Parts: sequence; C-alpha cells; structure tokens
Amino acid sequence: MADTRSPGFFRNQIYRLYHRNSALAYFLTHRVRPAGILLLLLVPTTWVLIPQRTVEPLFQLRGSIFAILGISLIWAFFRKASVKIRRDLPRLATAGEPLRYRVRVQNTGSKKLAGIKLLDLPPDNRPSYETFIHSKEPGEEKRNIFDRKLAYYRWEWLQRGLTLFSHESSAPLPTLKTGETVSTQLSLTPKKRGIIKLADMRVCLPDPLGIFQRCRRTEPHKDKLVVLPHRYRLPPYHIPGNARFQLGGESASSTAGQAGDFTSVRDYRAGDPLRHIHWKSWARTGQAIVKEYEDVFFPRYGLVLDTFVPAHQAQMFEEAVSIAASFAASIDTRESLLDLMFIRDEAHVFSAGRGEERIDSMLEILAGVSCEPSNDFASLEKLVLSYRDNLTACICVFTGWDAQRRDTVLKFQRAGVPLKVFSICRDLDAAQEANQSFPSPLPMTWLRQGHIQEDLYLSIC
Amino acid sequence: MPLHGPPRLLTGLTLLFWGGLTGNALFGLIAAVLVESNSWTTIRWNFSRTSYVRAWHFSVLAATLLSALAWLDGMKAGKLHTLFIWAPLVLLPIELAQRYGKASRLPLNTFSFFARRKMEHDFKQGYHVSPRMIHISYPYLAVALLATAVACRNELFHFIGMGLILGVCLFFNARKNGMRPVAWVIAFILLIAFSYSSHWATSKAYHYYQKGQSGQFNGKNTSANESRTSIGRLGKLKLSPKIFWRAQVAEETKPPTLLRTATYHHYARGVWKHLPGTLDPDGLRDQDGYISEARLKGTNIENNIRYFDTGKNADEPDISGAPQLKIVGEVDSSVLANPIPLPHFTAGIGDLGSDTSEISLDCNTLGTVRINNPDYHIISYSVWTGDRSTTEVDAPAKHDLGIPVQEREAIKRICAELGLKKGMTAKQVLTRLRSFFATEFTYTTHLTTPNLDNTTRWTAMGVFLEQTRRGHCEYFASATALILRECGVPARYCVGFAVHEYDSKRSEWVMRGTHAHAWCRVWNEGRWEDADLTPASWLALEKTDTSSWKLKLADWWQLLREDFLIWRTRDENKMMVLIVVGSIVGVLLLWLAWQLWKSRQRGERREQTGPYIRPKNAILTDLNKLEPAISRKIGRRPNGQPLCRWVIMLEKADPSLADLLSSLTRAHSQLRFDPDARRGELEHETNQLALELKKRIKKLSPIR
Repeated sequence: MADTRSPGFFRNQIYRLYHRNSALAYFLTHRVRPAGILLLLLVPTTWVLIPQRTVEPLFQLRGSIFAILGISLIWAFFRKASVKIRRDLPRLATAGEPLRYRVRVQNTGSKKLAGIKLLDLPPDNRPSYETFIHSKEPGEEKRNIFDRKLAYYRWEWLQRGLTLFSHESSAPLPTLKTGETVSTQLSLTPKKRGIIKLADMRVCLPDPLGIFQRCRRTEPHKDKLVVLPHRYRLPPYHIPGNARFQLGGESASSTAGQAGDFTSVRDYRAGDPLRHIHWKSWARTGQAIVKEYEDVFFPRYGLVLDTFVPAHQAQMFEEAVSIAASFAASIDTRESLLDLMFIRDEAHVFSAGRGEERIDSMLEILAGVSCEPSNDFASLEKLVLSYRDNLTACICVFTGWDAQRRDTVLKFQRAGVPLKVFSICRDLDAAQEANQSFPSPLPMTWLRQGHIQEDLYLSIC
Repeated sequence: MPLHGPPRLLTGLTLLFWGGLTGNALFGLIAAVLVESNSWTTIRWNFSRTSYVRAWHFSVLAATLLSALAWLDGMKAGKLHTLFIWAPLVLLPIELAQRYGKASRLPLNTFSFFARRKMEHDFKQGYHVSPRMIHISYPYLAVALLATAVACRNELFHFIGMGLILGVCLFFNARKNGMRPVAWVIAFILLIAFSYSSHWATSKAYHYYQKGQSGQFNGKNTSANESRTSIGRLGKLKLSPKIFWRAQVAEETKPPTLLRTATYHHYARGVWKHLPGTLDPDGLRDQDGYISEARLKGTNIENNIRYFDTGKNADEPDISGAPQLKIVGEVDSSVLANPIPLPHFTAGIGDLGSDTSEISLDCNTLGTVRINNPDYHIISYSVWTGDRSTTEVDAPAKHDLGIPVQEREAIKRICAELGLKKGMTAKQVLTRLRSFFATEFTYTTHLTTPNLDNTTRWTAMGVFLEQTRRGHCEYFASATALILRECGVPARYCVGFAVHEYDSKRSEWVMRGTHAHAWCRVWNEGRWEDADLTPASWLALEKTDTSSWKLKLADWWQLLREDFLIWRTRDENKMMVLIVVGSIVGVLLLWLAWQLWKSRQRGERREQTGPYIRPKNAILTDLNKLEPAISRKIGRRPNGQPLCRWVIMLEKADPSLADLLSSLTRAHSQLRFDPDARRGELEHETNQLALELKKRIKKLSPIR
C-alpha cells in the first residue's frame, strides 16, 4: 500500500543520509582491501592503549601502521592502466545461477601491467526518493517504532531488490606487456530475471602490499544479458485431459514447408507438389511415385499466469513466474504445444512447440513479464475460453486466492477445460483460511512462499 | 574485514613473540601450541552458531574476571586498558573455536549481543537476514601484536619481531592480491624507513607534549619531597569525602589528633619542599636524604617491626606489647614510594608483610616515612609509639629558618603589627599568632586570593596576611611557619590528616579527603612539636555529611573491598584462596574439555585412505612429476580424480593458463593411453610444456 502521508523533513534527511552513506560505502569497499580495513581499525586502538610508561613499542607499531597505510595509499593512487576489454558473454542466464564468462583484456598503455584484477559492477542499486518514501517492506508494520522511524530496513530491502547481480572479481591477471592480450574468467550471479546491462567494467590496481587498490573505469563496452526466471526442479507429472487433435509440427508453422510424418508412397496425382516425388522409387519403377504424409496432432496445453498482483507482493509474483517457467521448461514441446497466456496491458498468448517458437523464447517472454495493476480477470477468462476447444488442459498459476480467482476457475471448469491449479500462499494457515472463505470448485495445490520447491515436489509426487 | 586466515605457524610465532617479550613465555608457548595444533590434527568440531557465541562469552567472562581481579588489586578504572596485555589469552577461546570449528568464517554479530538479538528477531519474523561474515584469525594476530606493544620494554627486539611478523603478513596478503616481487620489496624497504621515522617523530612529539604537561601545575603533585599547595589558586578547593586512611587505636590509648604524612622545610612560590643532603653527619643516608629501615630483633619478631637508626640513637627502641595504632589505607600504585601517615613519636612500624616481601620503609631527616614496593595498593601496618621519635632528627637546620625574599617584607610588616621580634620564645609567638588568626582571619576553602605573577609587588601570602585574611589550612600553616622563622624560631610545614571522625560500629577512626590538613612543626624547648593555628572552625566547615546514603554506600563498598584484599593477601589465606579458585576453574575446564571431547569429529583428511598407488608399468610423464608442486597450489588430488581434471583447477588461480593446460593434458593423455602415439615428439612436447607450467605456477598464490 502506498503511503500517502507527507514524508516530512526527517524522512527526507534520512534518505539523503542513506543515499550518501551508500555511495561512500560503495566507493570505499571497492578501494580498501580487507587488510586495509583491519589496519584502519587498529589506528584508533593504538591511541586508546597508550599507557603511561612504555610507549615506545606502541609508537613503533603505530608508526608501522601509518607507514603501511601511507605507502599503500600513495602507491595505489598513482597506479594507472589503459586497457581494452571485451566480454564473451552468453545471451542467456538464469536468476540465482552463477554465470561464468570470459573477458579478453588488452593492454593498450605504454607500460606493462602487473597484478591487476577485473570487476564487473552492477548498476546503481540505490532507490529513488519516491520509491523510498512510498514503498513498504512486507511485514513492516510488525517492526518496532525505532526501526520504523529510521526505516533502514526499508533502504536495505529496496537495495536488495534493485541489485541485479552479485559479482566476483577475477583472479589476479599475469603481467601484461604492452599490446598483449590475455583472457580471464569472471562470474556473476543474477539476482532477478530480466535484462542486465553490463556497462561498468573496472580494472582494479592494488598497491604492492595489497592494502588499497585503485578502481579505474575501463573503456565503456556495453553488453546485454537476458536473465531467465529461476526454475524449480519438477518430478515427472501428469496433466489431465485428452488430445484435441491439434495440428502441430510443420503444418502449424508459417515458415516450414510440408507438414506431417512420412507414412507411405503412392502414385502421382495431378497437383501433387514436386517436392513430394520419391525420385528413387520413380527410377526403380519408371512411374511417378510420391511420398504420402500424415498430419500430426499434438496435445496443446495452456499455461495461465496470474499477473494481477499488487506491487508490495512482488516477491509472490516472482515465484509465480518461476513456477510458470518451471512448467514451460519441463513440458516436452517436441510432443506437445504450449500456450502461455497472461494479461499485461492487453491479452498475450505465446505458443511454443514443434513448428512454433522454441521454449527459450517463451522463457525470455517470462523474463520480461511484469505485474498488471488492474484486476482484469474478465480479459483473462475471455482469452482462455477463446482457446477452450483447442486446449487439452490448462495449468493455472495464481498469486493468491479470492472470489475473483475462484470465479475464474469455475468458468474454466464449466467450459470443460481440464485444469491443474496452483496457488501461492503465505503459509498453510492463510491457505486454509482462503479456502474456507472461497471454496475451490476443484482440488488445487497450495504452494507456500519460500517453500515452493518442497511443496511442488510433494504435491506432484 | 579479513576473509581468510594467516599462513600456518604465523599466529603461533606471534604468540611466542608476545610471551617472550611480555614475560609470559609459558603462556605464550601453551597458546601457540593450542592454536597451531589444528594443522597437525584432524579433530574438528561442528560448532553451531550458538557454540561460537559461547566461546565469545568465555572470552568476555575471562576479560571481566581479569578486570575485576585487577580492580580489586588496586588498578584504577581509568587504567584498565593496560590489561590489554592479556588479550591474546582472553580471546583464545574464540580463536580456537574458529580454528577447530568446521565453519570457515563467523558471523560478525557473534560479538554483539544486540546484533544477535536483532538477527534472531528478524529470523522469527521472516525478514531477510544476511550477517556479515569474518575470519577472525588476522584480527586475533593484530590483537596479539598490540598486546605485545602495550607491555614490551625491549624496543629493539620489539621492532625486529614486529617488522618480521608484519612483513610475513604483508607478503601473504600481497600474494592474494597479485604479487609483484620487485614492487613489494621496494614498498617494504620504504615501509621500514617510514615506520621508523614515523615512530621517531610521534614519540618525540609525545614526549615533548608530556614534558610540557609535567611543567604545568596540576595541584596533585604532593609527594614525600614536595607539596604543591593551593596557595595563589582561585576557586573552590574541592576535597574528596572518600576514606583515605583508617586507624584502630588500642584500648586505653589516647588517639592522636593529627597523623603526619610528610614534612617540608623549604618554601618558595606556594611549593614546600624537602631539600636533602643538609643533615647527614653519619653518612647513613642516600643522596635524597633517606635512611633505610632497620629490623627490630628480640621481642615481637612475628610483627616484623622496623625502625630507623639515625645514628645518634644506636640502641634499638624499647618496643614491647601490642601496637598502639593499626592503620589501613590506600597508596598510589603508580608511585614507587608513598609517604604514610604516622603519629608523633613513632618508635616502630610493623605488620607490613612477611620477610620474603619486597616491601620496605625509608625515612628522611624531617621524619617523613615512605613505603617502597608495596605488594598491593591497600596497605596495613601497626605503629608502636614511645617517648621519642626514631624518625625525626632532632636538631633544626638552616632551612628551618629560611624565608623567601618575596615574602620577607609582608612577614616583617605582620611581625611589626603584632609586636613579634627575634628572641621571643615559640610559645609567646604562637600565643599571639593564634589570637591574631582566630580574631582577624576567616577560614574558607573558597579561594579568592589572586594568582600573582613576578611583575607584581604582592605575593599570595602577602595578600592573605595583609588584605583578604581569608584562606585555608595551607595558608595558615605556611604563614605560621614563616612568621615563626622571622622571629628566629625554627619551624617546618607538614601535611597529614586530622583524626576526629570515629566510626563506632567498626571501632576505628576514619580519615577522609576532607580531613586532609596542613600545620607546623615548631622547635620548642629542644624538641619538635605540632602547632596547628588554623582557626578551629575549619573542622566544622569541612565536616562531611556521613548520613548521606550515597556516601554510606561508597564507604561500605570501599571498606569491603579493602578488607577483602587484606584478608585474601594474608599468608595464611593465600593458599585457601588459590585452592578454591583453582578448583572452580579446574572443574569448569574439565567440564568444558569433556563436552568438547564428546562432540569431537574427525576431519575429512583422515577419512581418506592411503596414498594413491600407481599401477605397475604405468607411464610417468613430466606432468606426473609436477603433481607435488601443483598440490601446493590447489590442494592434494582427491582419490579417484583423474590427473588431467585435477590439473585444470589451476585455471581458477590463473585463467591465462587455460591454453597451456589444454596442450599439456592432451599430450599427457596421449602418452599415457594412445598406443600409436609418437613417443619421442610427445615426450619432448610434454617436457617443454611442463617446464613452462612449473615456471608459471611458482608465481601463483594457493587456492583454499
């Protein structure tokens, strides 16, 4: 729910403080190595511990710490690098799965480079002022007044949500002579589905002692990575319904030529396409023989995704998308067709299967799908029912359960569409409560938030 | 914060360095063995998060007990940080938990109660929790270095040891961040040079600052040889209501009215001093004018009575029976020699400690007795009085008649005003002065007499005598001494305590800070006598409100602490305390050891069976020969893992090795498994590639 009250001076100052603090922490964490942090913490400790008599050894230690910090800082400050970098990036990645890719580095400077590392930084993950003011973390009302006043948890929650990927720096590269090129490996783990734009590659230049490092931006080379939704492992499962003799294979394709499977040969009849002539048989028999094909019919499944989710339940929606992606990825599209149906501004249907688009394309669609602010269940019902004659069965993934969703399922059932319904709930108590308030017309599967994998496995098995 | 631990043996060496330079070699050795044993044993514990917290609690408990013990032993709260010397031992439990636990890193909130509670609460509420993780071995090593620096007194050894340890740390840290040997060596040389100059500069600056500080008057520098009075200072003189000394007086003995702590005979600009070397005809005194104690033989041996043989009294004082006074109080543990309060005509001092104790007494010509090397900050002693003093040299000297030039005019005018002149007896002078002070002067601790500098005619004493006529005991005592001297009567200034608050519950006299007093010693009829001319109203004005609950509570706690210290440090009680404390600690450690032994687990390394046995007649290539060198970088090859697949792990350390490894493993596989391979060419190729790989992996840092 959006907070409509005036944010006030205090919240404004808090936001500015977090914003600046976050920038400072970002700057320092990429420039001060862990050993540097330890040494910086030791500086005040040596001051506190000065006793009255034996001060010389403490002065020695403090002198050494200052010397290490000073030399390292100055050395790191004056390190320079001129490099050209190119990523060999795959097109697709999966949310939550580490992605390793190679990067080619060329030293374009006039001096050799030693001990450098590469770092691919994610875009700025600080929320805007409006987002910070008007967003609410789920369960925020249960926090104490101190937390709610300072709202630091909200800042962290928003930052986590806006962080596209976590990253690791490369291993130190070997010495690069002028003009030399070397290849190294970087890894990143996408945090969420969608598109990642990689545009901030840094070259880290540590000082010889490894206390500080200079973090120089390299020549901008923008790359794009499509992050598919996270997918759960599904055991073998059965979807109800019978094949409705849906023409599939090449016959359903607008790009492929002939449809159907080869069954036999027969004599040529006028009008048969030349491509169907079986030249070997003609040569053997001396008569024109053509190949005969039989149309192929596949079961056609619908995958209905409930996009009617309020913004504060975005996590639930993400899980719904992941469930849909899991089914999309697990259905054998060589032997069936799959129609993804959802509402986002308008009704969308996307088919995958033999002769249709590949399942990767459907996952890409799912990578980009977002919530629909209005609960337009009527459009969804209209969309699904328009396909009812073709659909063998329909898998519905709901983000919650209420009267509208119950009515939708009821309409599908009355239309004779075999259904397998999944609904995400907060916990089992909430599920029980929802089921009692709005009894489902057919057995449905409840999936608890945070336990989707476990519940999917149990329910399907 | 650090994400990995220091190299093997470094922490152990640091602990030995700590033990060696702080005089705790045995503790250092034990700690080093415990810490480094994790490399030689595979016993590990699968500690839960709570177990790490308990290990931390052990450390906190040890620190608390240590602080409490030190505080009971007299360490002031402001000096507790000097206990940091024991930090390596105090933090040993958490370091051992890290080393012997299976978790590679600990959550940072292990060390914060509030952060832990918040995390647990967030867990319960289902909020996202991601505590920051650290490896504490490098911070522990830093703590050990700091502790060494706090207590070490050998600067050279410390600098060498510290430089070596820091060098090793920096070397391994640099290896993890891309080692550049030449740059590292240059940086390290610069580091040594800069650290020495930085140390020299900050040390000089510190000493210069300290020197400046010591030159300033802080009003607290009262010692056996010098008393910086408050004469000339402005503002309210604050006296502490805290109990300084307690005295138990034997039955049928009249309690003394004054207990003298120190006596001085030279005055200048508000400072009274004892100047040594003026009276030592027998050559018994040291250059500071102090004579050492002598032990009384014969009677009362168990009391270990000490007295001072000033030369003229060759015979031992006649001491017998019970002591007249028993005094208990606190001395400044940061000072080697503290003056102690004694009554007039002190003949002997006893019950200070056993024969083996290093405690000793000495005494100067003015009768100030100092206690040297007390075992604890709370001391207790008995006093035998007689008909003569063994501490105070009888004859007055030239300093006992000296008047500073600055004060002379004012003193003369006062003497003229009172009709005092040379040749009058001490009694006559004192009578007139007592009347003069009682009628014309007011006792106050609110000082309004200005601090006059060298450019003004007036001195603080002159202003007090002729203008304001308001002051406290230091003014009256100093003025009395100077006026007596002007009249030709030898006089000295002394400080101590007025004995007038009696605690009937404990049957002892109590001397608080508010009872601190200054008065005169006057040479009268061939002996030194006390002369206190401060108006008698001072006692009423300085009277402490003993009914205050705060004061009662503070007194109760102070006396309890002092009595407990005295009780537990008695020879007959020491063993009992040791047995009780040792038993509790022993039982606790045994219980802990038993719990740990029960929950021990073997590490994975021990689970591996014996080394891989190569089949007979198997071809050995140059890549096989590189296996030991590679295992130092990426760890031992697990049983059953093919060599080529294992070697590929080197790519993690240096991705640029990919092409080289690919060629080498291909050649190796062909040599091993291809019967049609051209052996000569392949062996040459493998040899060249292996040499190249050997060269490259030398620079690699190990992967953990």
